[in-house]
Amino acid sequence: MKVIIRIAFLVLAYSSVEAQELTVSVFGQSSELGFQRGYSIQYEKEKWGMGVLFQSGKTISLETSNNNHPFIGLTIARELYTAGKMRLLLTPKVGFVNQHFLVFIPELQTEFNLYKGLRLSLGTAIRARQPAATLALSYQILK
Amino acid sequence: MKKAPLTKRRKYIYYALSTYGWAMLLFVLTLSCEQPIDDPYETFVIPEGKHNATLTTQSLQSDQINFSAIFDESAIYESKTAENQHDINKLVGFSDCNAHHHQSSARFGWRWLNDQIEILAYVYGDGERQTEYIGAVNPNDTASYHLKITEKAYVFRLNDFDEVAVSRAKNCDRGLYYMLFPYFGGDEKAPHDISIKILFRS
Repeated sequence: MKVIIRIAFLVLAYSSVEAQELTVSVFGQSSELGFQRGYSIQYEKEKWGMGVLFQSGKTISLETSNNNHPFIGLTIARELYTAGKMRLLLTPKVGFVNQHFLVFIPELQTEFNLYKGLRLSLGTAIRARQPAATLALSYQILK
Repeated sequence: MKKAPLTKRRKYIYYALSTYGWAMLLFVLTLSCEQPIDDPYETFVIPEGKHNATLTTQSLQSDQINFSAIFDESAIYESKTAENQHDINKLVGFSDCNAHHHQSSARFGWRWLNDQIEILAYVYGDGERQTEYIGAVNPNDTASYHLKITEKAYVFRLNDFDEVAVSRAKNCDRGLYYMLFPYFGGDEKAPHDISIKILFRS
């Protein structure tokens, strides 16, 4: 957990100095673990991005239960293609579920630029060997 | 300023991305309306002459595993060597924190013995194996399995049988715990195709 916090701090500190692009997102994910909602902040430079995210079930809480499996982790974004206002990105995530369990989540996202810095993303991921779908709304707060 | 026209290649990418995007949107929208499928069980088949069912990988995501399992008549077998009938096959479990499963793990084990399917706790702690009888089931019975990690023990429960706790050699707290799926053996490989239906619950 400390490692994630340290990396997040470095990412955010660096982004505030360089200010290439900083994006905040809210998202929902439907997966084997039920519906989860979450937040992320991501720094992007050229075709790469890196950020931190938090997601959980019914409540935004670190409390673990049968219907709340909080996930804190890092996300890496790699732009694969751009066409018009759309981008295809590889957005794998790694972090801890229920505070103790290390997981890796492969994910692919299609991002639509709706208006200026406002973007809508649709993603497919694999969680617990089952497909998961993500819907995210992002806003570019720094450029 | 006038936008530059899309090249042919970029048009193809654009159309592909649009199609994928709309398909994803439909997928997300229809996910919540999906009707439950008739048989939600996942079938693991250990082919004749093999130890493993289809190889699959998954990391454990909570401190417990809950599932239902149904063995059918394929769980009835006779070992080539009589003493191997006592060998324990594996059902489902996990390796403990950042450890190989022969070092530190907990699994439900099973074997066909005394005309029933015996279910056992099968645990490695610091490389030492411990087994303990939990209960028995019959072919085609649906049985409920529960395995929980506590700080000092792995707690096994099968249906209404008494809980069995096996001590845990704790090596770490936070890290990778990987799940373990059906395996035949013991020394011998599956004498015929063995089919086990499992329904995991979150």
